[in-house]
Amino acid sequence: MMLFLLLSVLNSQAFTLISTGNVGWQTSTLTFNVDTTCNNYLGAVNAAMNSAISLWTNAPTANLTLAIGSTVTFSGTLSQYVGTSATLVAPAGNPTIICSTTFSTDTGIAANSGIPGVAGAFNISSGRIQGGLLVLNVQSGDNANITTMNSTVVAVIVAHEMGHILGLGHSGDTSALMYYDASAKNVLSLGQDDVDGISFLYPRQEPRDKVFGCATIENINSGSGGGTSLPLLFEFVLLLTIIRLGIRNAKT
Amino acid sequence: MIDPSLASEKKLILGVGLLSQNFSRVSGGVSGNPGLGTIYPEVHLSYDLFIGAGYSLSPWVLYTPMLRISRDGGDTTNVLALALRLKKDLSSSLSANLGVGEFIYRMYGPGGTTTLNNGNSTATFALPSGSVASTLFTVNTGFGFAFSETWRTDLDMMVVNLFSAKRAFNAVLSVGYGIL
Ligand SMILES: [Zn+2]
Repeated sequence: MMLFLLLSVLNSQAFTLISTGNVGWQTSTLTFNVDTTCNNYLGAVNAAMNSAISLWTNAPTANLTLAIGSTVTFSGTLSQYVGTSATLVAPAGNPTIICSTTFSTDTGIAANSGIPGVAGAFNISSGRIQGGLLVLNVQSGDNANITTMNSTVVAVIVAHEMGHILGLGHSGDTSALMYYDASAKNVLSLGQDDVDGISFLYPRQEPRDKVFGCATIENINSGSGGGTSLPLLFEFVLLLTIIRLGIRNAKT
Repeated sequence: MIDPSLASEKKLILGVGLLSQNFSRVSGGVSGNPGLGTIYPEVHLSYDLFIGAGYSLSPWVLYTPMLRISRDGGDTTNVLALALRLKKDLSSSLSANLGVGEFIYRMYGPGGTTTLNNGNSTATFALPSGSVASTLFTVNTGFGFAFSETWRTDLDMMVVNLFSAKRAFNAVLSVGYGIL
């Protein structure tokens, strides 16, 4: 009996969060705005966003409703927000998705590094995420330009970066969407670790979440207050692209 | 009146088995393909209150006594589930049940930070701190087979979010022992 129980215990790596203090958004209904820089890629961006939104919204034990919002124009200099020596945080408000044709300049990441997107410029105050930016790589000729990738890969990238915007850090669990390297993913899905992470930040509590619809999130039982902002630039390696290019180069 | 098929069976059952949370719903590996769900050892107790014509009211409580502990201690989770089922004897050994219940999923975090890969470098990430529970209504259904007066096996299902795209199946395969 003991042996049976011991053998049955699953081990896995755990989810992490972008900031100490269990920091998520105040609301459980969050809208992602799309910057005008994505106008030329709306088909691909909207398809990926819709898939990513359904994925997180449908996490069984979480209480989140995500949506695509309006088209906006981001007026700042992107490198000051998500560059390697960024000094600014995103303005408070809905998170914004930006498509960058100058991705390497904007982020400080060398061209052809295999990084299709970053999430960052987290505006964290009063123990909540108040703003954030999700920048997609559409740099012509770059090996991680999302417009050259198939729709499942783009959806995985957008869903992963969306996970950061929602408050999740990376996971050491290879089956998790929030694992730092998604090159082996050929299906868009959440791992239990992702479900745990998003449920931890946005727990579903019926009947409250049924009777009152989309409630705001209560303060969770963390003990710690305001949360320290980690001014991180989240990078997401897409080795698959590099491997593909490697194969292509080897052939030619 | 006592139903002859039930007269000799034990009413208080202690069961042990495996719970699959989010069966075929969460990624089972690095490719992202769905797997068998998240498996926990479970123990449960049920009691059959005979109400006539082969029917019993059967309260049921399940607990996962060992936390599912992540390898790096980053978080732990466990499940407490309660249900009230209506159980019908289909034959002297086979029974089916249908009921409603509650699924309480608790997640614990140690707090602090950890260092993980962040693309082409590493970065410090925060670990969850404290405990949080998600509480969901369930629709329960299951089948049981009694081998003898004291030993039985059951397959039970707790469905959460039945009427939405958040729907997920939590399955329990168990062996039960009749105590009383
Ligand atoms: Zn990432």
